[in-house]
Amino acid sequence: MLEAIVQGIGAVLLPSTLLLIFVAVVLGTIVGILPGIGGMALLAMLLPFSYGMDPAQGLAFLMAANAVCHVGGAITSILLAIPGDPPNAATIVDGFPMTQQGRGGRALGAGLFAAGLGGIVGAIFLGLTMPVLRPLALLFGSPEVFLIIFMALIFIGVLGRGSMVKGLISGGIGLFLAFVGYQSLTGVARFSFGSLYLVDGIRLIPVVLGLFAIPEALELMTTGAPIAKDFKSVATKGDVIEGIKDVFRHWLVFLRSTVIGLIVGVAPGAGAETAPWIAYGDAKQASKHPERFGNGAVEGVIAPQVACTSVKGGDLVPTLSFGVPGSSSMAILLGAFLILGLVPGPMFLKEHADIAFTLVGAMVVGFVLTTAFCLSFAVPLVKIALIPGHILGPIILAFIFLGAYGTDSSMMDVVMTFVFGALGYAMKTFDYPRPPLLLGLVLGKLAETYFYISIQAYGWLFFTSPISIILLSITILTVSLPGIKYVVRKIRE
Amino acid sequence: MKPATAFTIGLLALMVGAIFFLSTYPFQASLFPYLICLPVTVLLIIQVVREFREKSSSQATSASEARVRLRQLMVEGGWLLAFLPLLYLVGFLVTVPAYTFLYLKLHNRSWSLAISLSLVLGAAIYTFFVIGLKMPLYEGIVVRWLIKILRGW
Repeated sequence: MLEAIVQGIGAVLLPSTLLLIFVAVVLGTIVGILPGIGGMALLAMLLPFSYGMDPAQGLAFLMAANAVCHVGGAITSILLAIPGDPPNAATIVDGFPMTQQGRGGRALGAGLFAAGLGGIVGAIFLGLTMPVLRPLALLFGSPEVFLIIFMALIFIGVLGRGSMVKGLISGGIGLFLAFVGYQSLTGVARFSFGSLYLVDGIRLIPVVLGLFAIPEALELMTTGAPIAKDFKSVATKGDVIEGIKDVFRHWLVFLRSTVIGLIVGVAPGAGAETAPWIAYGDAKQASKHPERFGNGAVEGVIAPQVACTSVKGGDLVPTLSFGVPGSSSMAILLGAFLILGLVPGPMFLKEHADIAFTLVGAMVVGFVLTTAFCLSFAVPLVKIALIPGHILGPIILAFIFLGAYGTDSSMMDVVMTFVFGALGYAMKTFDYPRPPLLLGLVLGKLAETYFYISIQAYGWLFFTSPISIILLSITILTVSLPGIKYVVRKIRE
Repeated sequence: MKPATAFTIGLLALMVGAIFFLSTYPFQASLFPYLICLPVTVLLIIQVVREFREKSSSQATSASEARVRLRQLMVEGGWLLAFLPLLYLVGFLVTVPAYTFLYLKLHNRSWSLAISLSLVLGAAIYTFFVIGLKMPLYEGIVVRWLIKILRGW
């Protein structure tokens, strides 16, 4: 094993590999910042370039590019409320209010550093525990994955600011939207009304951009004022450093979110989009002041950003150990393995352990480079928040619609962005939380698939395995905790 | 009726419609959606009742302020909506600089800012998306028609 570690790390430190990782980091960061073109699209675009490369170098190149996307994605989420990638949407909830309050520098410092450090810790943890995590991944069958998703969905109520009923309604509408389109189990096209576009289902990017970015752009254009409503001074390096210190101040949030990211990543198919929301809900639930969440709490930036990147480490476990991709971008990486002549599966860690450690090393180097790269530009970037809304408005609109169109080169996606923009604006105005809708949409299809698989495999009482009971208990405890706290407080009084 | 209540009723109508359509699908295609849509409908009914019972809160802003705000919203919403037909007609590479220029100029920004920003934005999009990412951007029906005519020449 030690020999494999030395060989793997040695391959990363070769000048040619480092150069490839550097190129991947620059591309990954730019793509992360651009809305609509996520890590998956980047992997697809870079895949042809890996032909003919040395397998270790080719995979390091692809892995680094994919891993660092969410670090760059934090920048637009925090400053403009435009998520670079769907998993970054959770960062908007507290990141954008921080920018509006003139604390954009601090939010960027915290978000970028947390993402970088989370990715590094996740990758190292993966490297150290790879032999242990493999049997752990085997423990996650369809009931456990369904219950992880169920847990995230129950957090919908926790995520909702203000009225819990409105939070649950919003999540339910999101789940309903996820049912639109072709159901793989029966082949029935639900709620598509003969539209070929809807048969494919409602796509995520137009919903994300419409729900979050359009209402903020419209608000900017209406007021004409800069994003930062309370900007006493232009952000300084001190603000960014303060944000970095926040990650250490909230080390427990950091640690919990890293573990959440890793566990969700290890569970095959739970998806990278799930982890940031679970981490956010967990941070809010564990906080002594949950009312600050949604109004610019720095923990609300740290938790989703850490989970966004640490999930990448966990994602690799099912991909390498069983040849089962942990997420859609891992499915493309799996294709790259095959193209480069490697077959991930039970024998992979025995035969090619050095390549597994090369991937871990590439992730670590990638996260270090991208965090340094993004943090060095944080101070000038925050000045965006000082540009008057009438100047920034058309620029944001251009990027929103290019992002919507760019995913599938479809004008219908642009139209859908408008539709969800109107819905997002109404939800914002009438105080319906928007994140639960997005979470429902992301998890709806997965939840349904795993629900049916679990019933078919284990019957209606599929939730009786030890892990399932633990997950259910955590969920019930999370939901009942506010009630328990209330009762305890009343008894004390 | 308050706008918020009207919105909630709209969502309720959507859910009722969804439940109606679910009855037309096979059992396996409708079971899980039923498990979601029925409780959401109940929650929406609770919310509608709550909103009808709620006394209208005291207005923080005056009627004239609200009118000005609504007017601004209509104007800027109109600007936002104008992006779509313009995009349909002339595509991204013309819409983005033209829209930026018109928007800035009609919001009393200087000629130099309007021209320079629209040109920089147009060039940046061309460089990034067309040259860099090799992404074929939507051309628009007018531009397509013009290209066809020019090719015919």
